[in-house]
Amino acid sequence: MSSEKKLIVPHALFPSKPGPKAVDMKDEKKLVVAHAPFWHDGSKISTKNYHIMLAALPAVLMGISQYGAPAVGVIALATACAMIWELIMNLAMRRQISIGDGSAAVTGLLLGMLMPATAPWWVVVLGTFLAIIVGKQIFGGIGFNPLNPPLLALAMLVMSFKGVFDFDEALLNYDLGFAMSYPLGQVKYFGTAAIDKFSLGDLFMGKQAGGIGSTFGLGLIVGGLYLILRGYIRWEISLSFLAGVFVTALLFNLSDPTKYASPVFHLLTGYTLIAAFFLVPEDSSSPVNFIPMLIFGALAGLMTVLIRNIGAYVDGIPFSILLMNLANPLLDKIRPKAIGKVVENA
Amino acid sequence: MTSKNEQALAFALAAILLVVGVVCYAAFPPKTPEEPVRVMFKSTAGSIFFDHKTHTADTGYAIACDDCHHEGDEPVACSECHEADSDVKRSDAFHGQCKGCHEDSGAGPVKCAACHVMK
Amino acid sequence: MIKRSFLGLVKPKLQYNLVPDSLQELSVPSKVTLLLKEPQNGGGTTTLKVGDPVKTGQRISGSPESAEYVIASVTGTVSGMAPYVDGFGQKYTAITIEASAQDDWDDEFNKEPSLDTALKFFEYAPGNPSFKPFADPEKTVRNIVINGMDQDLLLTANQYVVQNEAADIKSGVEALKKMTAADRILITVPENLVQQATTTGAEVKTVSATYPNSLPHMIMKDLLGRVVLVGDSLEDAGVVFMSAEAVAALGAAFKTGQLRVTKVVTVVGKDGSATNVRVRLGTPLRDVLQACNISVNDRDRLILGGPMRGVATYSDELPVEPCTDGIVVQDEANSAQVTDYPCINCGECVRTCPVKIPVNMLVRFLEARLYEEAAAMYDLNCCIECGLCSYVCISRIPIFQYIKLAKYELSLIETAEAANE
Repeated sequence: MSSEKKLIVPHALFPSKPGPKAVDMKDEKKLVVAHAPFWHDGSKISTKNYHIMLAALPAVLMGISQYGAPAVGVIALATACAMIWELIMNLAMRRQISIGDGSAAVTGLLLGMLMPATAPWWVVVLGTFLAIIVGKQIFGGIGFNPLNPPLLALAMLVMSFKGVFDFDEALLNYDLGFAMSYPLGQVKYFGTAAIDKFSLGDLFMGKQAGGIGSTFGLGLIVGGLYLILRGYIRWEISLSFLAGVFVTALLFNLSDPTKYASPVFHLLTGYTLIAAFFLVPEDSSSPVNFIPMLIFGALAGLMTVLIRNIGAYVDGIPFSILLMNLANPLLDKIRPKAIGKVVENA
Repeated sequence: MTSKNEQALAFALAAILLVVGVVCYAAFPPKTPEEPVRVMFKSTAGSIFFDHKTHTADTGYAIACDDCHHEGDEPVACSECHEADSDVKRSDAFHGQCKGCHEDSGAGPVKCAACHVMK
Repeated sequence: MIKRSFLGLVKPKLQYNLVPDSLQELSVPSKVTLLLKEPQNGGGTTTLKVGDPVKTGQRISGSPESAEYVIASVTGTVSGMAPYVDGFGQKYTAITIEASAQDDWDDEFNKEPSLDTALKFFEYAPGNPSFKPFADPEKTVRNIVINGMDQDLLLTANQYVVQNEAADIKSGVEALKKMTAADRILITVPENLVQQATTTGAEVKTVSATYPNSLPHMIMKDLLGRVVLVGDSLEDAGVVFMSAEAVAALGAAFKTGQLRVTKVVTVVGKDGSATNVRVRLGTPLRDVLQACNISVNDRDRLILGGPMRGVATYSDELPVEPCTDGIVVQDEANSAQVTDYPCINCGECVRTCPVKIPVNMLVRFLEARLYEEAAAMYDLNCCIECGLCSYVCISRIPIFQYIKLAKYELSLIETAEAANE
């Protein structure tokens, strides 16, 4: 960045001694010239990302306590592979190494949280490749991804390897002392009569089949509230997403209570809560203006329940949000008029 | 923008997690219990999700092993013998075994879509 | 440096320093340097030569036909004349005067308040008040706002003047009424100075102590209910802003018959401690810092003005100018560093922008040097230059610098176009 017209900045303009100008550099302090502002609030991308990982920890720990070493394996491998893919891409593209900002680690961690504990290693390696390279790096890296990287990877994996992400099948061998059939599958295929066995309290406390880090409702909400209060995610998006899910599910539920589950059931099952606090408010793929944020979240929630109730997939999460990600640039055109702006009538 | 410390932290994190991940995958593969907990039967008419444990456990229906596994000393999997073209076809065997029992005892699903799921 | 609060949900609230610090009078420096602006179109240079004597209060003009001048702040002899170009390309002649011990006052200034007198003597008064809009037949300026607040954080120089020199402001207000056609003169002060402000005879408006509420555009919007449209200056909107110190200087000059040649400056050290000092205009920064016991080391920043809008300069030999409200020294360890990281679209800047510019989009265009598009589509020219976007940027993008550069580049394009016509 340099202006085309060079500015002349004389070095030592004011000689300390009168007479012919002598540049006596011994006396000169070498001051740093910079542009205002000279203050910064101290925020940093790495801090933000490590806080997001911290907020995700309760849900991850719950998953690990349930599924044991295989869950640790998936989470650790996903986080590590995501960072390694980013490093490889940095080196291949000869750009500065960017894994220090924690963004790759967050992507890997979130993808790991979405996976079942039995995910084979090659799915993890491939998934992080899709998230980091296809989802982010080929667009230019952090800040340039039009889609949410973990969700893009998830969508591709779900479509390619159905069995791995069929939680009923994936978790066949686990007996954790609660109903281990996948709640969203039960309601989709057998109606609301089949979900009587799930108490809402159990669902909230993570006693349900699902991704390693996406079932523990309490943990996800605590983490999400922490992120909202610290200002690391935009509450408008999270809350409008939850509201969108709730209202749409409520309307379906009112229309046919034997076929469509209650709104609270939809809030507590599948990927709803992890999406609300960790996936939908991802920075670069979501809007920043107030009204667009509300529309974005609400429509993503609406799409989620539509796909769950009348669509082809058991959980609508990756697709509903990816779809709204595409609408993001358009939505963000709805913005307040800048003060002083002159609107020309065309 | 990342400082040297942050990069060092990231490298350390990636290395540690990689080792942890590989060790977990290599040393602790998901255990397959001797007696299955749940079974997913797959057929052209969709998958059937069968809760094996609930049918056998004393707290569940307490059905004895040999009520279903009628051959051999040790229970063998149904499809070991019942194949698509064997005398008693796999589908007939299951329909007779599952649906028959459900009908006789007046409990459990008997309609197609109550078990068969086209995913 | 004020950091992000623990609860990041709330917007950052940067409060102005409110209690004016006590004042330390600095003795006359051994030499002063006055920066005489060169007229835009080139034109004549000053007839002053090295070795010429000057008196305190003497008007030194560029050339008989030039409107640019400085007022000598000491009595002494001219010891140096050198060209000087500031960071924005403005050319000056730097006139160095060796001061003698005694002030010998020049008597050209007469006490008759008129617009001519104001134009001739007060544009170089502390605070650089502008009287040209009143002389412009195309503009009708009926309002004067006296800003009794300091425009940047940490600074309290103007507030000091309101607190301690209300009587001078009062005579300044009377002189302004005689000299200009303004029929409404307001003074904006923080809550704690309302009592002093009411004695000045100007209409008092209270301004909240949160940055950037004392910037002229914000005062226009919040207190006068007028929005300055893009492309218009404040004068176009019918208002001239003057600092309280400038009005006090005006009042004092007509009372005593001597032009004010000093400036109140808030000096902030590395530890954040602030003191107000009164110095002769043109005093080298080094003298001011020495008097305040502040040492400057290599790689420190020496900031003229405040931390949000000031200018980090390269030499402590530069002089105090009439517009220098503050001198802030920042240690290398404490200074904000910028990076070349991309925008991650977190939206913090959009939420903090006082004029609702879509900064996230703007910065993308500015990084790609699409200045005209940035101005046409993303409200570049609405920016009131508060610097808050850079302050909150998590990627630490020099957004404010991009904006200033874009405005500068656009002005070059405009000048070139005007020259072609």
